[in-house]
Amino acid sequence: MPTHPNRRDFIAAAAATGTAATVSTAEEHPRSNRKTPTVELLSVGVVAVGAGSHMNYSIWAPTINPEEPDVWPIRSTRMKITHCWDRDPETAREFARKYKCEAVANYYDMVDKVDAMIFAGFYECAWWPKLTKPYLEAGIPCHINRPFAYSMEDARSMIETAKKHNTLILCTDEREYIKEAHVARWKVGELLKEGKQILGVTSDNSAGYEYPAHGVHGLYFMLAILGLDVAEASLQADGWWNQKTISSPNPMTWGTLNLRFNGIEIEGSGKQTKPFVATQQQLSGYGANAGMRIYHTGGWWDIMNHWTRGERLNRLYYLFFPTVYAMQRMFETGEMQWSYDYILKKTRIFLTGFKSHLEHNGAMVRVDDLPEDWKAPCPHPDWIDESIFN
Amino acid sequence: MPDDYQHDPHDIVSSHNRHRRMFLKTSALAGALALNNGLAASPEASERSGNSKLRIGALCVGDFSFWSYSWGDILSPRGVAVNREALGTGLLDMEITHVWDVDKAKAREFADKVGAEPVDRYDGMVGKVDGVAFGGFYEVPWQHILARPYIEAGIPTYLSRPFAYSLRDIEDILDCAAKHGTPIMATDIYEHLYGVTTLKKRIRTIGEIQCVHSTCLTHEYAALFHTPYMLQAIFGHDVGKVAVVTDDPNSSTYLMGTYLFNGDPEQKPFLCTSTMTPDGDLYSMDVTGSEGIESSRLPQFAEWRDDLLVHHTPMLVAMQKTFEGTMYEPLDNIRKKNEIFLTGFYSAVERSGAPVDVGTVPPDWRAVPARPDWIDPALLKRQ
Repeated sequence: MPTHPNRRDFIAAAAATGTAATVSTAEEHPRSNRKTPTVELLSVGVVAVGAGSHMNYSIWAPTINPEEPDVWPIRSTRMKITHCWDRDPETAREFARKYKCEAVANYYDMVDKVDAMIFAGFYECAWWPKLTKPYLEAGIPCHINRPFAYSMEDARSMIETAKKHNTLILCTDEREYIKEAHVARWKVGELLKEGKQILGVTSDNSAGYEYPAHGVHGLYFMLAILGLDVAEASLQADGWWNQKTISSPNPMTWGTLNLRFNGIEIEGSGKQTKPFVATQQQLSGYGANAGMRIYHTGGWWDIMNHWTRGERLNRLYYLFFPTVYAMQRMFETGEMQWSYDYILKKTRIFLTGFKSHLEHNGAMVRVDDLPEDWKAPCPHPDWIDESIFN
Repeated sequence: MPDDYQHDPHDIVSSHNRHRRMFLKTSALAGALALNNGLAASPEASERSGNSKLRIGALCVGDFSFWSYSWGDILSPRGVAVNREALGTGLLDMEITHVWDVDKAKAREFADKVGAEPVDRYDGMVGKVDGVAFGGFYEVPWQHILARPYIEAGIPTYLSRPFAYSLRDIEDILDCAAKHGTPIMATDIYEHLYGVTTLKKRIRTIGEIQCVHSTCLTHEYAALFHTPYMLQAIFGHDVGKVAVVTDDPNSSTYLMGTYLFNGDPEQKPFLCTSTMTPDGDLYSMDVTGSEGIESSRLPQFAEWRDDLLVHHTPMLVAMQKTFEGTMYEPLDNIRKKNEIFLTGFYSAVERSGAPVDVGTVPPDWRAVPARPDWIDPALLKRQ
């Protein structure tokens, strides 16, 4: 990994520049005279930039490589996408042209070229263990997109590889990082401090009528607020994907995700041992990304992340950019915000809900009873031509 | 009930109330047809002898009963408090004249407070009253037996929620009511709240319904989980699936019900959740539509008097109309409500909370009574 300037020096230099800017005018320092930043950007490689990827649709990519001024006008991160790969070479080349990076021929071609990796796709998730392996083994920090894995075996294989090679990983999504998740977590802590008990939780999630790609946003949102002490989970729905595919015979038109918590404990705030149920409706087009109402022994408390209106920049900034920021935070600081165990546990809860739906008709299933080798389906099991792994 | 039981209604018709009894009997056939359509049996139904109020038989007045909790305070003729504080005025055209409870001492105690006469047997009011109301919860598993003499006698009957503990039982009751043209009413108190009609009107402006969340101040499913009935009063009875997640339907640590309403050509299927919140509001309900949200809630009352008037009286008004001969709703609605209740119970205890299709619960499957030994079967023999 390239040597970066000392972070403290970087911040100090930036602060000095900022101070100077406040006492100067634009006329005194025309653009051509501005000091060129000396901070070296983190070179980032991307896997999966086509359909189902946040690198597509002008979501993450323009906030990292600001090549679409009408979408995201300024450089905002210390990252730069320098390389990309996609299962479809033309898609990769198009992305490379648009964001001024280099498309590589093979998924493993970026190992010696980048400081960090973003595994950005969704449809490729079933192949993350193979696609990430070269990078995890090389110790390159990786963001691995949700839902991380379709079996605990796959999840463990990535975690074990990461642990063995001291590789940092992040598996998150935007609803784990939206302000409302943090505020709600704080509020739960306050409730515990006040000695109040959570009686039940209702929630809504803009899921696009599917579970693994957008339903999981709602799951991560709930877990970020309520913690991981989930005893049972169920997905009650008439399908798990929003279209009919080889593996999805019945498109979802309604669904709820239900979690039965053993209780909740927030260090420094308090502990509740009384179980409660959180139920989340999986919706589409209801005007918000996620919301939650917490019923407690003193009444209730509401929070909702509404759709962002106005400039497109606002939507990217308030909904998606915190996730990008979280990636850089890990890449730059070398610290994981969510532990390996956290990632394993939330993947287990995700899979338990899936199993409930597929094999138990939506009955509550104990999280601890999920077999390690149980595998959930992905919507397009032929998405990747596995000959690339030969 | 003994197979050889033969009931001659004329034996029990006193000269005093013969006119009313005869009306109910002669209208039985027409009533059987009309009741299922929710039609009033006849305007004559309100006709009664003398200037007295409707004579009401109060059944199941002891533990966990609306009679001893609120109805007594509302109908108490002399302003004597039955529970906390009577309204102090005769609010409705009903007078409690006879009382029965499985516990004779409780029956006597209640009767003394309201100036009524206790009867020894559960069917001991036949021929003496213009209507009967079952106020208790623990007796509901036996309600189909307890109510039968009255329904057979054409005496308008109010059935306590959740009405019956098996489909077979509720169908027995409904068949009996249809056969004898007896007006029956089986509602939950929340079906009568003003929030029902208010929400029904207001949700017309929020576009297509996306989802509904509701809460209910309860700690168990069978007696106090009122919002499922309220949801049906608002959105109708076309419920396709029910799921109830709880550790114990009769004493819940946690409780969450989900109801899939099938929708129609202009409304996609949508889910209503009901969460137990044994603290705070009596109910809350939020209806999210494609173009807005409508909410309703009923905070706990600061004054018992307000509780009686706002919370409990509306159902008694409907009950009185039933006793006057006007069916509150079609028999099919009662069956559907009971079936939806049983489907939720079945989901909780037989399917670990999985959604169960309404219409698939076996007719003889029985929900678990809160007090399975509440009634001595010997008490149920008819004379």
